Amino acid sequence: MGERPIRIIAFLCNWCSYAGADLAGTIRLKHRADVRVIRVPCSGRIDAAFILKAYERGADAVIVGGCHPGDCHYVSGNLSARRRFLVMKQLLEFMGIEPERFEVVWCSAAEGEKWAKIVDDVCERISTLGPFRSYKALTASVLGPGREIVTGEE
Amino acid sequence: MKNEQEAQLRRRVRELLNRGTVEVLLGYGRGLTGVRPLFVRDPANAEKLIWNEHCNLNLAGYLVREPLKQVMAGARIGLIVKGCDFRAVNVLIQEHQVERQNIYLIGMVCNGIESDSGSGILIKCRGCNVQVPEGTDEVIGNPQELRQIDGDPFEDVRAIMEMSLPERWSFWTSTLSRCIKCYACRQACPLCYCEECITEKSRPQWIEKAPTLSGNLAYHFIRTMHLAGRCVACGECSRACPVDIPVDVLTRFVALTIKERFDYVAGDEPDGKPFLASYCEDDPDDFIK
Ligand code: SF4
Ligand code: SF4
Ligand code: FES
Repeated sequence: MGERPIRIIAFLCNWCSYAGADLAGTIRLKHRADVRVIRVPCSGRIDAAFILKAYERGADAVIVGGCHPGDCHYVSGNLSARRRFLVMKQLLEFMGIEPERFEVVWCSAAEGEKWAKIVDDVCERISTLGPFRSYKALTASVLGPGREIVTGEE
Repeated sequence: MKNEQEAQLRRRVRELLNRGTVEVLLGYGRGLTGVRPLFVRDPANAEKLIWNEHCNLNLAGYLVREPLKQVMAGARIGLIVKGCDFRAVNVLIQEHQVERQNIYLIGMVCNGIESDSGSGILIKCRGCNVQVPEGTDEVIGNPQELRQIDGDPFEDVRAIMEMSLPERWSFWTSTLSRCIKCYACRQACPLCYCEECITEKSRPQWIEKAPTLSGNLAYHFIRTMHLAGRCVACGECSRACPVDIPVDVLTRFVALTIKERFDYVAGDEPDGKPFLASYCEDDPDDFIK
């Protein structure tokens, strides 16, 4: 074993990507258990503030997911989101955050296998990269003694 | 040599006020330490207007600032703009904050603006393609006297792009650790006009209010995202910062990204679509799994 426990937060839209992740469970695919899913109505709902809050609260990486272009339940939520995600990804990197810590996926309700693979891939890469220590160090100074974020690392 | 452009400006403003084409004019005046905004209602005061290479202020923000917005409601407002300031006006028009027909725009032919620190022409002026503003109600100055401003307007941004990830992280965390969350950068930005800002929200609280490092990082990340496709590189934010944080480097990085990846420049056209409120079927998606 020897793998460091990590924690990854995934924001998935209700209509496709969440259903895809659900399917992975229904058909009993095995994937790593380090991802926590938060369901949102549409990828268009995913705000920059969500990502930063996730890091602040101890996430080592964030995945955002939506329907494939053309499939969004609200027609174009994912298409506007796509521009925003590109900018977010670039800006995080500009500020010195490893690009692996922010992943964007399109995943349909039928793509349980794709989801399982993405989870495994992301977990694998983040395990190699290690926990998001630099961000945890920022937050540690805020929370004060005894209130550190539990990373599962110790 | 006499400042003929300034004299011409004063003449025109006096005429416009006398004729009632505009009721109040926003321009530049002499302040205690430099240039300040000047509101002119009385034609006699047109003499107080100034125009020179220190007129760095982007006055567009006054169009959407309370309580000025109320004071000026219904009045026909004249506004002095450089080509770059005009972009901010366009963004405000695109976002339905300002009606084009309610404002009278006087565009100034511009040979570049000097930096306050005396380090020459501002970085943002390099390669400027709006030295003669197009689309204003009138233009003042002589395009024949223009000199081209060479260089890379993103030099400071690129210097950071050349750093390694850990170098960038330590640059931004140490720089942003100075931020005292005074929000001067937000107040100064002509495009930050929301009456209720996410920074003021406490239920839920997205951004820590105390100037902690993580809160500062979140504030600046979110501020920058909220200016994506909107920032016109005026530099008001950085000039306002009491602790000299180059906040516009963040927003101009995004402007550069958007220019390179989407061929989009904020405020280039009054009837353009806001960047984040629109999309194309073939927008880049090479980063998506
Ligand atoms: S973010 Fe700064 S440079 Fe950009 S428009 Fe606002 S004040 Fe000007
Ligand atoms: S003006 Fe400077 S100190 Fe004030 S909030 Fe902005 S970056 Fe922070
Ligand atoms: S509903 Fe899935 S992206 Fe809009």
